[in-house]
Amino acid sequence: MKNIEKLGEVISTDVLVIGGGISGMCAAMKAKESQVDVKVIDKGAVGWAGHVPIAGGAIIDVPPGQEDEWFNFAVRNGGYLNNQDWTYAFAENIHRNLTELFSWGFPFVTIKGEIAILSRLKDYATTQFAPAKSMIKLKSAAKARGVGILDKIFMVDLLQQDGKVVGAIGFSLLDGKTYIFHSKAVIIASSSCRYQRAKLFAAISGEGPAMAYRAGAQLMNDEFHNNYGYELKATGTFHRHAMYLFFENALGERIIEKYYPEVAASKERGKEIQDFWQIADAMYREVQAGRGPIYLDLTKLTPEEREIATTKRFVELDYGALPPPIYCMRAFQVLREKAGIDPDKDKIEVQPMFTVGQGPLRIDLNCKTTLDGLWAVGDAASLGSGWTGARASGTHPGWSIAFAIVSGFRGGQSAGEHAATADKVEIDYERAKQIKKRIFAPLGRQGDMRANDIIYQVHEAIVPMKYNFYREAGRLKEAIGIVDKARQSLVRVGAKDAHELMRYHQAESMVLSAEWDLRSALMREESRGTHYREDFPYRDDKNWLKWLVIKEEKGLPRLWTENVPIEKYRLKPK
Amino acid sequence: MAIENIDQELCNGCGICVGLCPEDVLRISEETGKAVIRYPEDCVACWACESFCPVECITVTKERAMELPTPY
Repeated sequence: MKNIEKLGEVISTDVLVIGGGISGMCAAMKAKESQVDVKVIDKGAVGWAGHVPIAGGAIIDVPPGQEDEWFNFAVRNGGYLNNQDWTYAFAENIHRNLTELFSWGFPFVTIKGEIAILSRLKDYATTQFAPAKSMIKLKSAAKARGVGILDKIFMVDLLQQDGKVVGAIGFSLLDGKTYIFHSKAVIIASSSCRYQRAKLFAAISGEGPAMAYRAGAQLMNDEFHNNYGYELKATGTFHRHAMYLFFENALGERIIEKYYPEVAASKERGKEIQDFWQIADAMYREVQAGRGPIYLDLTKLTPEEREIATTKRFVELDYGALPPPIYCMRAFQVLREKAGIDPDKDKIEVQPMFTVGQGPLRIDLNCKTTLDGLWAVGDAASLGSGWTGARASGTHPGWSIAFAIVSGFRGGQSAGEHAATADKVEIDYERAKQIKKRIFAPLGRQGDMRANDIIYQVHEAIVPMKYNFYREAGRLKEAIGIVDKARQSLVRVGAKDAHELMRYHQAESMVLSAEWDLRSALMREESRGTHYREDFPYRDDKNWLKWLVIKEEKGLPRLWTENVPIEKYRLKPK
Repeated sequence: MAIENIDQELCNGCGICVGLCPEDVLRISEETGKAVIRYPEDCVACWACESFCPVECITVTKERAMELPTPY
């Protein structure tokens, strides 16, 4: 294998974790329990990068004794398309996993020394934590266990031999050096593809699912990748509070009452719904009817409404020297400071936000993908696991991070156990050389387009609600045409350094993801969960209680369906 | 405008901003050891750098460097 060193720096390990966010770090901690070498790579700096420091705050819990009740909610909410084994496994494990995470120093809000469990929301319990330094704490715990950490390295492709995944190849963003990791197990923990759309999720461009797809892994449920919420237009921020109750059209009429009176009524119970796509729908329909733009108006609330608007949804957390989350707690402060808008005096324009959902890597109960030697945890596989059925977990706050933890634990344990007894398989020099050539092809190439131009084109296909929310066969084909053009344009993009090379690969990952999203949406001829087809507006259990699977074949995505094994499951649709 | 400035006097070179920028916009200068804006065209104005900077030396406006298609 000594020729491999000609291609770049070779780093040997037992378990390679791609992505140092919460799912990757939990996986690393658990893998280490098998007394194997574990290395975590991140394209940013572990401890600071990813979603959790800027977007975290809530994690749902299923307290002991409440598993069945939560499970029933989750399966109904998932339109019965869930992998119910995964849904139940989540319910059985989340509480004990949170307890263990707490023992590692993760900064939960506590009551009398125990994790505080809050049951403010209708159907599930929530815990809270102080996000800003939470990953630094997890990083310390991981380093204390001997987990190795490498920052600012961007991974692009997997390496395979004898039908197994034997490592991965990428490069340093700082000096462009090639890195080849040689391992017995690879865990993809690099989140899904969120198209770098919402500021909150800007780090996420989809390399994990893309590299697994190119290696032959199966994807599943990608028609539910779409997820729309809302944002304050001037700043791109939002908060998960019942502010949507006060959305008005240009005529000053409250819009939620018009389309979703049950949601508006929920203010009476002091509870909130969490289905933000309903808010997006109401906004869009008003604007299409010529009554836009939509505003959040807090200037003339009744005393009862003012109480709802200002009730502290979160317990006061001690953020220490670091600021509270920008996207929930500081949304109004940012609005004042950056956009000169005062919520006490001004109306605030709002619009739908394409937040996107979790990722489609298909995994079993141990987080194994369909490729030998490859695991996937967290957002990369949340949709593909089937645990939330016909919706992405991001449609509810605190769910995705909870899955990141449970799957991180399970996948890390499974990969660690595998690595403890598996033999290492050599990397084939010629194959690695070919993959490296593919990865570096844009470097030094003269391009007449930039990666951002491709990314813009992808957004043109998947952001407009007429394509990706109100789905319909003709418009979906139009959108697929836009993505096809974006894919063909990739060859016109060059890169002059490591950063631009990363941007190229991010654009390529987004093109792939958009293809899967739209082709899956075209194939599912019914409506279920967050997948709505104007031309097939009803749920069709007779023909569509199926999972839609994707795999690369001869360079193109092949799609097929598999029956949901509903006879085996606890809950069946009526 | 997105990210506008990193005050080179105030910057203490801690590197937190370089590590957490989701778009890899920033670098630590080899000459000065301070944080510099290297790829401003990719800034999304998420304010992570500005919020987390321990000496508050970074300013970011509200506009992303690149405008994007709207959902309507």
